[in-house]
Amino acid sequence: MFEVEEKTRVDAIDRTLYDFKDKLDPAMIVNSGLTEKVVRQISLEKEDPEWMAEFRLEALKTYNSLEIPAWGPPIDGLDMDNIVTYVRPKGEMSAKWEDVPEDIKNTFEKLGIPQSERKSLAGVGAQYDSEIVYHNVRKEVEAQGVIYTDIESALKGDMADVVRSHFMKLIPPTDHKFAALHGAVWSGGSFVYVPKGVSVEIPLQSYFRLNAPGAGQFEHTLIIVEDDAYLHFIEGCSAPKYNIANLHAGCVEIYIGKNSRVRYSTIENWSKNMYNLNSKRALVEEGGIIEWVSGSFGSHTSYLYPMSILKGDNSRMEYTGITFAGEGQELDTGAKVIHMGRNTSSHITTKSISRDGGKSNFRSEVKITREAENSKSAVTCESLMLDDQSRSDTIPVSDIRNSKVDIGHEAKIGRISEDSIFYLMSRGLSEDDAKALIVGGFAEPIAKELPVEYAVEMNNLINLEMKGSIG
Amino acid sequence: MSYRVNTIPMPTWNHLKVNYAPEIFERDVNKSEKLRNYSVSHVFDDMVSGAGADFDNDVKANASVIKCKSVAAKSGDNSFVSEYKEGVVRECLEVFEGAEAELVQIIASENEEQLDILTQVYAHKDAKVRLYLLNLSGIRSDVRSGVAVKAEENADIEVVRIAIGSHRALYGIRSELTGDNSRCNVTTAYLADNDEMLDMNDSTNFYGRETFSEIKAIGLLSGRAYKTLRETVDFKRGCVHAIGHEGEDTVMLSDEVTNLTTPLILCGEEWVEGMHAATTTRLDDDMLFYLQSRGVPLKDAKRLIIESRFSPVVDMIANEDIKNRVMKSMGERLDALSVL
Repeated sequence: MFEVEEKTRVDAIDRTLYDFKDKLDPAMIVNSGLTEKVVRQISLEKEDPEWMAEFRLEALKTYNSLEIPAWGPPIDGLDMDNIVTYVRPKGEMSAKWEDVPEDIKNTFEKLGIPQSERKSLAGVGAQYDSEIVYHNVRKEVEAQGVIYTDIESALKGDMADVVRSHFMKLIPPTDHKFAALHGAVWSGGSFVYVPKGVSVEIPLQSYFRLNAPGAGQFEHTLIIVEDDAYLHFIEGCSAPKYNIANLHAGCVEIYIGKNSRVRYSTIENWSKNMYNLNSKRALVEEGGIIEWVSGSFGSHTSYLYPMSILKGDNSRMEYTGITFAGEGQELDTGAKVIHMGRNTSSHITTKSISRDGGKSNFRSEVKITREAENSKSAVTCESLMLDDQSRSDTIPVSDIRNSKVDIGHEAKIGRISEDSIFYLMSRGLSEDDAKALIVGGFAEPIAKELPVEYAVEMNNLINLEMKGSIG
Repeated sequence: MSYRVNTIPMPTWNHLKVNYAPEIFERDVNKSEKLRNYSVSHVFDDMVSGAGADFDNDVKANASVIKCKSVAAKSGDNSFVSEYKEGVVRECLEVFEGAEAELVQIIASENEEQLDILTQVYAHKDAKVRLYLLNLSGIRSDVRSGVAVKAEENADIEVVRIAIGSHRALYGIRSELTGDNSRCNVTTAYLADNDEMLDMNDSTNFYGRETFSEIKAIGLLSGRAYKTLRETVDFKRGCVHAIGHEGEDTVMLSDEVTNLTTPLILCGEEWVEGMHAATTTRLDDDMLFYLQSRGVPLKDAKRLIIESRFSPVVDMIANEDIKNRVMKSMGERLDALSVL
């Protein structure tokens, strides 16, 4: 018969750091709902070039023509009629912290953004609701020819033609309903340009804070890295919790030149009233490398699957992700990769933890086209269930159309191994220490891929408190 | 009537075309002569095959052949062989407590014949069942096979499927492990060549404690074959200490093949072990080189490697005559492979 054992208690994520709220005091706010009038108002407010104003209206038409996805977690609680798509904070974007409005500055200081900038970043962008409020890059990085600015400035400045030729070309509004929504109402986000042969040794970071209740955030991040270059870009995000739904439908497009490498790290810590329907995609040329490191902790519901298109021969993709789904959360995450070039390789490694009725879904697509000779792909996903109220599902798909390939996939779902505990105890560890080691070790391979500050944050987020035996 | 078949329990992106079989099937209702006023044991009422409830209801409503067998403990008559070529067929096997039974189902359609067959197997407590599904049809026929299996406490079911025939072949096996300590393994050897379409949807639902299931497939794809394999282990809440394994090992001999694989692990219970492992490769160059260095011509070396991949599955067939028939069919298919 089965013994009743006391279970390990894994604490919920401590959100007090992120849950503080500022009084809603915007410079401008549109009415809730998504109409042509609202889209035109956003265009006017942002002083869009003509082509962008037309692009938004076309995207709105696409949005209205597309259905809500039928395959993912339910998003019934998201009513676009109640979502405010544009909230302009007070003040203008500045490159000096002292010029940022006091309450907004306090928000980012509580989140540790200026401290991180001083300590370990080459540049920082900070977005509050719909607009970037602070953007700065170190002089020595700027001197290398690196451009790191808010995307609105890039859209109207010297890089206007480059933005126009790349904006939503990787993720067109027709891709899915929420890409179309993004195309219609996008605002804020960053533009990064790294010239040929330049290696940005320390990371750039953009942080997105959504304060307004019932609002959406639709920032657009466009990164262009020329040949033989390197960039590490960090994205952070958070929001206080409200009793009404908030929406995040951002978009990240990354172009990676020949023999270049981009690492894109994200710690997503939205509040539990957030619908996070985000899109990320990278196009990788010959010999290029994209590395995605992703931690998903917040949100009520997430749809998040960074996609890599390995266009060039010998290009490579690595995706490392962890998902922690607690009470009331359904986090549907994973990755997609399309191998188009020869000798391309991809490696997807994910871990997920489900507790207190949380639902964690892993979803992936590996496509090997007929031209992608000698390609290799390995997908590994591990899921840990911490109680029988929770769910963990894996839905991987591979579509292979070339015989000269080497494709492997492994998935594992289960609880903490009693054999492992027994082994560690036989080596002298106490039962509690053995269990703490195993649970901590589960997340460790992901933590080591993160910048150290984020690894510490992640470990704080997963505050594993061991008690009694695991079972 | 028209409907979708081989639907997976949790859908994914539509553009992948794996959520259900790519074709919507339609039946010419006047083609076969229906049987009316027949009855089968009520234990089969709520069983649904991997092909789906619409397919099952279609076969039940239009079946022209119904075969129902039951086996009690110590029954001498417990081994059955059925052979079908075309039509709409329903075959049921109920194995009572402590009994053992074996059903060999041979599909031998020819030319452009079409066969739709629903197979239902109910294993009572402590029953043991061996089910062999052997599609040895010609390459112009169409076959759709839905299989529903249910196992009570301690029941043990072994399903062996040889899928080497038909132009369009569609198979769906669903196992329901309702009893504690029940087991069901599904082992498949498949081969598709030319323009053949092979679509499989195998799943096990775990309800009982300490249940076990392994779904594994060994395959060979050549020509312009279009193959989809869906495997699902679904751990329902309460299936404490259940273990479910999925696996696929595929060799592709052509760059014109389409090879889709969707291995789902769905988990609503923490005390379980769910695992999946899959590999897709070409024929092992090192092994080919070794065999050639030993004087084996390339063509024979390829053939040897392919046959050795399938032989563990074929060897699971206990009946020597039937095993020889399967090997003969397989040999004919391998002879016809353009790459050999």
